Amino acid sequence: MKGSNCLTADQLEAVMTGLDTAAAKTHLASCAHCQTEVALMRQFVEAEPSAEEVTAVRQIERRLRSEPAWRPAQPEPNVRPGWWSLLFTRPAMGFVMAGALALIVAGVWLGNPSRLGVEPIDSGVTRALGVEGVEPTGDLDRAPSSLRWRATPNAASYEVAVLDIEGKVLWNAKSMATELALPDEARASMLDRKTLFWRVSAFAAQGAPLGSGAPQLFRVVLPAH
Amino acid sequence: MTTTALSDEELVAKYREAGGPPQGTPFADELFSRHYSRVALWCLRIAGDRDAAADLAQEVFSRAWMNLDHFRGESKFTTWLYTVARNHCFNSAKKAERSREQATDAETLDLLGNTPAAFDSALERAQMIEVAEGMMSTELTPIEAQVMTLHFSEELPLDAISRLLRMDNPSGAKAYVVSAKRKLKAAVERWRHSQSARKGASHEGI
Repeated sequence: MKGSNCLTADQLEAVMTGLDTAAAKTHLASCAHCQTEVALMRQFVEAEPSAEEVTAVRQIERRLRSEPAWRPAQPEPNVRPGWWSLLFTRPAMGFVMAGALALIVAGVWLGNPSRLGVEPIDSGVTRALGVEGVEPTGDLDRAPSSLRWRATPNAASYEVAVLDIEGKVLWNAKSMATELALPDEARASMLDRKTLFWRVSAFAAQGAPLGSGAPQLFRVVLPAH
Repeated sequence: MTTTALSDEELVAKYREAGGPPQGTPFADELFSRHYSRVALWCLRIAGDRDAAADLAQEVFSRAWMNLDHFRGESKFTTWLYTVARNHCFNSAKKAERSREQATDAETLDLLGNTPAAFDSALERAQMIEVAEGMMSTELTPIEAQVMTLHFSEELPLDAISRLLRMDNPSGAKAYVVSAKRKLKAAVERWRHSQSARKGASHEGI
């Protein structure tokens, strides 16, 4: 049984290499546990597989090389997730919904109820971090044909996405320009009086994120016939 | 300088400098691959079966990787890896030998012809174990002492001990247990006689 005076791993190593102290030698002479440890360590360090072990050892080695299951999971590459992924979190989704609701309510009180028979929503452009969406924003009488934003200094590319107020991405794309045409399938998802928003994120040449613009709320309000 | 030119300890340092995975992974890969064969053989001798040994070896490297930050460089990396492999494999073997639980001290005491209940106090019990352990180094051959230590203290199965200590005799470690028990019993008898004689002498003195 191991005792409190038993040799530590580095002391055992010293025994193996002949660098042990007199005290270690004395202890080793009377300790079956440490003698066993030295024998085992020697087996581990110096042992060569016998003829009948060679094949099995090679197969185990091959498995270790080919199945890296023993490795801990590698962390994901440090790629900044699209800003819209943040909107899938409950607090963010609640914030967006509350914001949209507040804007609609403000429209009811401040806007002209007679125009188009519905309340307009805020059409002001929100700015953040030097990344700025331009249009569409506010109430539109038809689905927009494109998204447009201002150029961000040092930006090499942009990511844009259109989402509904529950955070569901309806469409997204990358661009090196400051305008992107919306495809028909994206426009088809912009239903009458359905509040949506879009947002742009800017990236430097090496892919480093420069910032994201504030959500641009808009909705299509088809004219009453 | 390529990774192959670095020592094990330098590879650990490079792995740390790189901040661990993923940048440090090539250093750890090179480091561990140098020891695949060694760990594979060790695990094979403990498990006695190629597939079980492969599982065991994977667990050893998984554990080593997870604890690489704890390697302080006070010993060689090989020594540190030995400690990881030894502890993990012995623990696995112990789990497989649950039925042998509680055998350690009780069997040591049984060698002395007593049961734990026969002792008046824990102190006497501890003294008896100490005596038995002392006898292991004085009465037994080194190989017998190693077999007894591994079997009764580390709870390793006899077949694993036979493989680990490269015993090529037909009955392997079992033969050493038998001879060790016989020697220890004889030594205990001598010790009892000497104890009785001493007690008798002290009574006469009173």
